[in-house]
Amino acid sequence: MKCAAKITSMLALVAACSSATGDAGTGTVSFSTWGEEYIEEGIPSAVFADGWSLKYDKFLVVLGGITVADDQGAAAGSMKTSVLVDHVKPGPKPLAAFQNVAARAWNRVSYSIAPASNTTELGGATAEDLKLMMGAGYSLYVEGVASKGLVRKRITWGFTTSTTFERCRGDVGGKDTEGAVVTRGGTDGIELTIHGDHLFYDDLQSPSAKVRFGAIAEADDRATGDQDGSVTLDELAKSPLVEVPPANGGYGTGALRGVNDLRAFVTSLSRTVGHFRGEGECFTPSK
Amino acid sequence: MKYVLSLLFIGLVASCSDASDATAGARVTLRTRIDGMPEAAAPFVNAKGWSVTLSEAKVSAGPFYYFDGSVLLAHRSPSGRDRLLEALGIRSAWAHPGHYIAGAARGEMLTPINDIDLRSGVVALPPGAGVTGTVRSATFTFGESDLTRDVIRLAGVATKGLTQRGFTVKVKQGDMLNASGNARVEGCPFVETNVTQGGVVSVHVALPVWFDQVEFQELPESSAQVPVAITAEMVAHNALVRGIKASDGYLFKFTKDMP
Repeated sequence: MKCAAKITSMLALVAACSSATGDAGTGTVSFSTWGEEYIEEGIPSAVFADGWSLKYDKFLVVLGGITVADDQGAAAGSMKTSVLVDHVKPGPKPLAAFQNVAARAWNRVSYSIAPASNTTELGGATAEDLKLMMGAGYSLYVEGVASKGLVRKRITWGFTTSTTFERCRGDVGGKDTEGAVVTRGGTDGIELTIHGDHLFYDDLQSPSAKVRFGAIAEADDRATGDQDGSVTLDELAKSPLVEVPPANGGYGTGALRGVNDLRAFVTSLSRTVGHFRGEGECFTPSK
Repeated sequence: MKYVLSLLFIGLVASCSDASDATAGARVTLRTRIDGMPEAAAPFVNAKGWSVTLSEAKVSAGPFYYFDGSVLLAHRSPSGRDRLLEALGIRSAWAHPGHYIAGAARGEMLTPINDIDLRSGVVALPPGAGVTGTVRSATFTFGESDLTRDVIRLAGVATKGLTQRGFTVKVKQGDMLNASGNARVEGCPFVETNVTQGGVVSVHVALPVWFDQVEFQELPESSAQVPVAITAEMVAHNALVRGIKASDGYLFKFTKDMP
């Protein structure tokens, strides 16, 4: 009897937490993207575990493929194009809006960061930026300068990776929420947040990863680099992870195979910059 | 919120269970063993082209912990091992700092055992305990807490063409600290299983993963009869420790007891 009462209470609680059913009207889901202060203003030395700081001059991202659906496969909206944004330019940038969406929970929201194409539109970036991205097939391109004391290291990195961010979930009013929640006549404004510090994590799996730049700077300084003050992806490719002194960071790869040099490591990290509603996260299947 | 509700529900069902009820949350005994590793006795070839034959492979292991959180794996060039993991139902994905979330605890084997001989076939470990439910990942730890203690001892010979390097190596617990400062490997794949009764948790330690990136060329000329020690200042030591820290080097699997 006690068990039956407990289970009844639990079911009632679950029902109360469930979205309403029936004719509940329609609302809107809108999407924007923001690179936060780390991309707009820089990553201060307090964030880096090894005393470096970094200021981006350009942070180009091609965002697209936004889909709002439910776990039964019903779609409320799908974005067929992509938008190139430069997150160094301040403020959130609008991406897409789906109107007349049935007012209920849509728990499968996904998007992609994929190479620019003929359907890519400008969202604050320049036509020259788009030409650069399309010419090289980039999905993500960053320029910036890292500093430590009097030392300066420039980075100019382009990535051709294609990453889908699925089953996104994030915080809504203090509640961990899957996807979008549409209310009658309301708008669920979702921010696809881009985290500029993730390119410098020193572990691909650990939640205790630290932000570092020392090992990356060393790629230019070591014998396999050209010591010109610019750290290229090619120099990172010549820096095997086994040659990174443990004092410069663990650079652990968890269960990932084939990530054996700093270029592969940073490229893996480039797939992790996309987030959801600030600190929220998505599942990112391999391609 | 959903996680909290899940825990509440599991706790509720468990509190409603009686001794004969085998629903989610019921307590089970999880006997534990380390499976035989043919690669510990036979040669294997690493990514640098060295054929490695081990004459000694001992590890101090335990406790182990089991969770319902999924392991995130990825690969750029699928290897046979990757395909095996996928065939076993372990989904591939690009990992992310913080993306591995252990989730709810499902079981544990708390007794550390020193100097397990990985070359001696199946090694039975003390039994552990758990609750019914789905398991997907595990944590492998390296024996009693003592950072100065040698937790791994390896010896053998590596051959590449006409070049041969005999080696010994000792890895201290302090070498195994992860980004959290713990000597443990988290996020190890556990073949996804819905545990409904007691059984055996077997652990496969993939020695080739440990040695995958070790370049033996840097070692002084040596042989199986006159080996050299791989010491902490060597790149080869760093490569080996990185391999030992790779979480796909430890594959956990559950087999239920036969009725």
